[in-house]
Amino acid sequence: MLKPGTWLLLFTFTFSIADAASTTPNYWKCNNRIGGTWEFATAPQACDANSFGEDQTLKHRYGVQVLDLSVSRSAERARYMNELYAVIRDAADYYIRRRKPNVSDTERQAFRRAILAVAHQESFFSHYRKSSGAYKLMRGDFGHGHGLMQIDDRFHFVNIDKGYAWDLVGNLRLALEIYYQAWEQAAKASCVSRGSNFQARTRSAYSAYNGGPSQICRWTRASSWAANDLGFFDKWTDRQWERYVSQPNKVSSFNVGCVVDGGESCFGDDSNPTVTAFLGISNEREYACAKSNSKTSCVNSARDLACLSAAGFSVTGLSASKTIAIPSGASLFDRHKLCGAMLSSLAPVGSRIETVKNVYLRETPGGGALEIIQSGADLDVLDFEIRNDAVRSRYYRVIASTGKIGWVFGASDTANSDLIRINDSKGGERIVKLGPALVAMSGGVNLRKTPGGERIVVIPTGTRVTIEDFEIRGRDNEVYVLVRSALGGGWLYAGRILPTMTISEWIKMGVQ
Amino acid sequence: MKALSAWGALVLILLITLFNAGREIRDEKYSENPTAESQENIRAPASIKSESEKTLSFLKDQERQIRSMQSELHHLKKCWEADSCRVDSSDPKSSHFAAVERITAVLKELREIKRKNTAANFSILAREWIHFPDDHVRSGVLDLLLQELGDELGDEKSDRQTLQAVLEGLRESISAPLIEKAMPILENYARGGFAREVQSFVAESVSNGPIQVSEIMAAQAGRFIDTESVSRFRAISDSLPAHSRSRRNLEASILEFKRRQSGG
Repeated sequence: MLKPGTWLLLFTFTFSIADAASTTPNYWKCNNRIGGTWEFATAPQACDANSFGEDQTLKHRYGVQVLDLSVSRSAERARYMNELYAVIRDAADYYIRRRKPNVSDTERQAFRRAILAVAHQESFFSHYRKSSGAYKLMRGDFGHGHGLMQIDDRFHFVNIDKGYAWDLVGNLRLALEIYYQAWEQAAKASCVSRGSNFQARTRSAYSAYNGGPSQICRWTRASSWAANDLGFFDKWTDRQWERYVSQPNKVSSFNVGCVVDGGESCFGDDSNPTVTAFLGISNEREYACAKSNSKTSCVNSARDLACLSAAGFSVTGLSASKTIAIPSGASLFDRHKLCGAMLSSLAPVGSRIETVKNVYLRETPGGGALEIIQSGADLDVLDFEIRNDAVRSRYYRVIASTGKIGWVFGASDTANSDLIRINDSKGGERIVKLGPALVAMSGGVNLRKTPGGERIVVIPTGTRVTIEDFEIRGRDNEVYVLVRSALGGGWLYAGRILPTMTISEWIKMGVQ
Repeated sequence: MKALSAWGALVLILLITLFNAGREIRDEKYSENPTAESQENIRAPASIKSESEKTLSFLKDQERQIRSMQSELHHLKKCWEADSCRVDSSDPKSSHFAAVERITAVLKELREIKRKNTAANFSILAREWIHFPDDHVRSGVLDLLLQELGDELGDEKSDRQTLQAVLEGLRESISAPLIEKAMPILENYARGGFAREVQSFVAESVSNGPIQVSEIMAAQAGRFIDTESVSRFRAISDSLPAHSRSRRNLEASILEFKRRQSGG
């Protein structure tokens, strides 16, 4: 029962929330907007893609998934649709198998069809297009919907700001995560008779995808949004995209599942169907390997294949579906030593670089821009990544003085960077600080003759040491420090940098 | 002063309990007719009595705020369910966004109350709202629980219920930042006698959770691996796709655990 005065309260309350501004404005970061047509690949509207990621990276990864508006439209649309269909098909299949390894073939196909219908309903399969030489990203719904699956910047601001919706597979992956959640919820919804009723399940999951989780049964009742649900159902029923896809079994231009699952080497030369590289395992550690004249050489990870390539190994295509035992006699290279020796002007992990111009700090190499770092900034190198392309572009993961972590472009084989300068001094303040330190790990830390080598003695927790030098090794950028202590001198393991930093658990630096 | 603190804490616990239970209560019930035990506690000199009155006034004011917020949350849930929090013909999610915006603001206000009065405990409210299907709301609930991290864990039954609700809420989410935010809460529970429950959640999230959640969980798994569970995590790692970030991250976590065990 409502008490007197409650109506007034409700009215005021409703008014106040209706009045509240949305956190992301219409057409946020939507520069040089262009229109479009309600046809496949060209849905309205589109804005400069480089607001969310580097054009060079877009071209490297998804060059063939861009619709070129400067060439014959019908032929170009047909080409584009085949390319995009292959990506959506592979992503949907990979995703549901990953989440539900025993998924039936019927359910997998139903899920794939649902995802294709969502891509039609949301954007007419539109993502990237090239207009007057500029790369554009499709933006619908007053600019709030980003790309192929219309990821909403009010709901997913953080992911969008970091460039994950700009990236074609990133966009799909976000949508797959959301749609799959709704797909599973729909199996138990009151409006779906049973989980195997895939038509009802598809419609319910779409209502939730489009209207939010509370709307899972919206399609069964009259609502202001019935047109959305009916429009989706029509598309699901008609499968119009099939009229444009002449090669439904076309092999995608890159390894889609690899990108969906955060793989390290899924594009460029590494996706060449003539496979020469593979993932191998030796002594419980994984490596990426290449064969040349029956000799196998390996480096710590697939993203370092460019360094093997620079060392003269043919690296075209990576077989990454399983790992195989590395044959005895193979050479196992440390990424830091091999890449440092093979690529000129590579700033090592643990060193410092200085920006010569203003540079973008990005979430991923070439991805979403986090902030602009001013010229003259001092950055500590946490990691490096070398693209296995013709010019071996170098990117550095750095920590800025603000504490923000991200990637900056360094240089390539053909262009020495005028963006950054390598600082020769060793011992960054934010990674390894030379000088006094305390052993922090409970139970103490082994003092060894060489990094990871023969043990001399255990240095107890709380022991004072002096760090004189350090070395970074391995796939996780493991830190070893050369110390002096009352118990003698030698090397201590001092934590790792990837995937999360653990140095402070091992040693407290700068402590007297 | 001890008696005053005890009285304040007693009244506050009563208020929060009543709030959490969602009961209709009137001010005079607990502020003007204290129990015999409470009356015993407040027999104090006049100067302390005046302090006591101030405390009472503060608590009454806080209780009024809490009750008003509870009422607002109730209305918000109703209009969210009816899709009527905002009518905007251009956007099917407008009602959802409007509700979320206000719910998160209310949760923020509750955090402010918790900041001013550390005796406040909103775990029952958190158990309910962690299930709201929006990550901004879940994030607001986690913020509230994070503020309670300094508090000692309560009775086992209540803690188990809160942990289960948090784990269910996280299972319903696909958000990596939300999982990252929850890490200190999970660690606190793991240290407080719920290590097995938390480990199972971590293992399940890495194996077949949303991919971005799996990646983050795998990177953070080192905090939860122990000698009993390491073989389970090793088996999970072997079952993950060879090229996946989840597998790389989990391998790194297992390796780091082994290094910790051996002293590096």
